[in-house]
Amino acid sequence: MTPFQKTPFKISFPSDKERLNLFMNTVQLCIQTPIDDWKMQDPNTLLLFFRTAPKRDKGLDFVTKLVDGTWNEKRNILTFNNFKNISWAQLMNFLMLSRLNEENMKALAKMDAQYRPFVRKLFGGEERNTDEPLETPEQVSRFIFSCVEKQNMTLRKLADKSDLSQVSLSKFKTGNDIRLSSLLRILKALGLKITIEK
Amino acid sequence: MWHSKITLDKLFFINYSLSMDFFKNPQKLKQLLEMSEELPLAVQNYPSRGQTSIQKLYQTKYGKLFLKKVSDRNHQECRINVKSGTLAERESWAHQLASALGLNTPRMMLLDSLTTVQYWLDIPDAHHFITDQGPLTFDSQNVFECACFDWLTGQIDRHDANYLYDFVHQKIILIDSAHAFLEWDGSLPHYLQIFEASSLGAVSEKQYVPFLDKIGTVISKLQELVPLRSIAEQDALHRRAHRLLNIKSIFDVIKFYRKSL
Repeated sequence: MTPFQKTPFKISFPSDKERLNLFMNTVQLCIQTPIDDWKMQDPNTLLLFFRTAPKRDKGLDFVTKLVDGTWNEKRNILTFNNFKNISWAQLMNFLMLSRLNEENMKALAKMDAQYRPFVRKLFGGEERNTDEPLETPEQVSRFIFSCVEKQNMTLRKLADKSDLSQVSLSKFKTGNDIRLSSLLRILKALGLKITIEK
Repeated sequence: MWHSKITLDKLFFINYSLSMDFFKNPQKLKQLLEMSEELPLAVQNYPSRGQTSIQKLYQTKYGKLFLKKVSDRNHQECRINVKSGTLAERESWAHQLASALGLNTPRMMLLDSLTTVQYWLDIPDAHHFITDQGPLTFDSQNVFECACFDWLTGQIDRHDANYLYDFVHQKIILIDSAHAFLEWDGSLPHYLQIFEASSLGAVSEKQYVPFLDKIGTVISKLQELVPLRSIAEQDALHRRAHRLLNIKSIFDVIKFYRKSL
């Protein structure tokens, strides 16, 4: 088993000590606050000890969010919860490649779907990340009608605002293709704009 | 909505503008480092910096700066002619030459004859990207410029951890260029090996790059930019520079390394 395998692996201290060290090195590379020590409290909980309280460490904030961490501020200990349920190999790759730089993270998510949950967790909550590309008519339709729903807009109102028939909109809603000029009218009616990137 | 993104060029420009003063003055740079917080490079094994004797990473108000002091052992084992230029000096001259050619490399300053300070970029090296993620996607113009530069400097150590891969802009960024300017020609850089294997068409494409015009201009300033103290090393640099003047494609650079072609 290599440290870079794509499937989740279980860490059981101390037999996987080396792998855990590698993971901690990767975390350290992404954060500014020096890690003093770490310890597996139980198979599901990892404790990270810091010498000092972190100051304006955006990387550490991101790590905390990614691993559902909790802070003991009196003792400067960060607890990684649900240790068993996280894909550490994926997370390690994500950290190593992105260094938790926002532009890098978003580019990685565009490049490889396996990193999208991390980016959603940091920037998009449970919602779709707006930097993700829409590549099929179905994806565009889903995205647009989720916006219609959020705006509490009825199909009739959208038809009025876009000057399109309800039938055309319904067809588009079910994933049928649509003319570019019609799409642009819908976008305008919803106050959305299109981005094209090379 | 059109996104405005900070490109790598802008990033370097911002760093350059902000740091103009202290990067011109070793004393100011030392003061800046003293005032800054030293960051842990890694808890244990990463990153490995081989035989470098001292390496420190600092968080300054202008970004992360990396201090590197080379060791005697490194000079000896690589048979570097220290009288002509230490590894630190060579790395700093390589940076000066890259800047004159308009090639983006992390900004650097020579602190003393054995020590350099450079910007630290939070970008993975090619080794990590290839191992953890997948094959590199190249920009052939960027590869061409890097290949010309590595040939010119006679780089002998361009392995997969000595260049970064900016996967956002799909460009490679050369780092650790200290093993350069020797009497003999360099060795085929790692990125050229994989570019040749993966981009068959592009390797022979004619490159229109202002970079080639700059080489002509830079030749007259070579002595000033790369003040090697060995005549033989100076001559070798000039010889390599003149050979570059007639090239048109990446394959032309590869041919320089394959002496039989």
